[in-house]
Amino acid sequence: MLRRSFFVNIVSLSTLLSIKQTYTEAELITLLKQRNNGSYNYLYEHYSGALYSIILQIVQNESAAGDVLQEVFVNIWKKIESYDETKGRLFTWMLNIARNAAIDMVRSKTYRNSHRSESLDSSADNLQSIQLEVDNIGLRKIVDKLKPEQRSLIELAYFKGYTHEEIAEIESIPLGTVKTRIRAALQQLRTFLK
Amino acid sequence: MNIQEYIQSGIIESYVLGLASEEERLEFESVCATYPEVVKAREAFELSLEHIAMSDAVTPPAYLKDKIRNAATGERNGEYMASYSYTENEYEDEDQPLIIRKLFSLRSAAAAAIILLGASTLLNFYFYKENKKLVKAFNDLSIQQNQLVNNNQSMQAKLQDYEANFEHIRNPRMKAVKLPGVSANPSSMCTVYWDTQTKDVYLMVNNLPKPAPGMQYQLWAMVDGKPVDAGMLDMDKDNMVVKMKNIPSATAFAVTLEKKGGSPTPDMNAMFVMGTI
Repeated sequence: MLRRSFFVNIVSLSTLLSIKQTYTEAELITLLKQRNNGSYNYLYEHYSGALYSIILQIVQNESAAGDVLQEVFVNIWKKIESYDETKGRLFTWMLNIARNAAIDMVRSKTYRNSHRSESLDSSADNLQSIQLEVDNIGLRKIVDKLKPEQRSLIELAYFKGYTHEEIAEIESIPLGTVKTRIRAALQQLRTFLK
Repeated sequence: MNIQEYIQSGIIESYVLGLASEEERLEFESVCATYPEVVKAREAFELSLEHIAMSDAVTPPAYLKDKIRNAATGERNGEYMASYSYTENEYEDEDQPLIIRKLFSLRSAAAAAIILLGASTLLNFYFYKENKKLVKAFNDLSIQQNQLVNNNQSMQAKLQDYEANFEHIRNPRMKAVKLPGVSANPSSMCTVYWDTQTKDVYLMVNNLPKPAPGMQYQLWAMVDGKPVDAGMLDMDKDNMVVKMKNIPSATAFAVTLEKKGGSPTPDMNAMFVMGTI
């Protein structure tokens, strides 16, 4: 009993020590590339919420979002060597991993099947509450301020991951128009974010 | 390319959000490499995006933390944590009175606190020593690095001297005068390089014995039948070619061994090499 609590305490102590510390982004990247366990804990404590939020905004299902979050952290830890600081901030890199993983999940067969049956099972109220919850956070909150035609394009491009060509087909508008409207929407987004 | 227009075009947002095509991405990255203001604008957008994402973070369910850590890092820490949190539930199942369970958990909490304190003290001490070691190692390395930089600088300076001297010798207007050893010193040999335009004189030692302490070689130019001091040779410098005095005209050059600092007239008995032009 005593020995066990000693172990537990050492473990929680080392977790505490590593979390309490704050790193600059450059320090964090160096430690992550060295596979420092403390840096993993810091990464999770610091960023899991923001990444989980974007995943939820895309998959809109808590259990699937948890699976995606796991895949995202596995990938971050596995691919950290390939992260190139000159191409963008660490968070941007992780955000894109999270977005891509979430979109892949939504497109996967198993998700589509389970989601369909779930929506049949659960009451409409329940679904709506999840929907409302994620509509009100993060990037979606900002995207909601866009004009409806711009919003639907960003919804398709960013949250659903369709290419410009696919969007042109879905919306039955010329490819050039899709491109210019998305660019305009992005410029608008930037002013909202400021 | 108008950079302000490019920055305003939406490409930054498109790139950062992962919506740019392959072609756009490559172009953007090469523009970033050339225009720091584009990088600055990109970072500003990244930061505002990060800010909104962080402020609207949704904490994932607690049980995911250990599960994901195990999956990502494959470390075993999480298993200890997980089994610990389950033990509390195990107590619930045992049919001990509530008061005993409470006492038991109080006692183990106290023991845990004491052990925690002890372990933390030990770890503090350990980290303190580690830190001191690292600081010392860092300082040592800094000193070494400084020395290397200094060495490198002096080597560079030396190399530049050599190169400059060599440049002089290579010059086509440079006249080479061989000074073979005189009969008393047949193995000695020097070469004078005389710039026919500037009249600068350079001396190369092919072979001269090491001078005795307090003695130094002196170069003489024969001008109108009289020896004129053409400068002292500093053997310490280990230079290939040494620049001597400027001699407007001469019929011969000779090297004698004189007392350190040179003499007004040469000691003809101590002549080592001589050559006429």
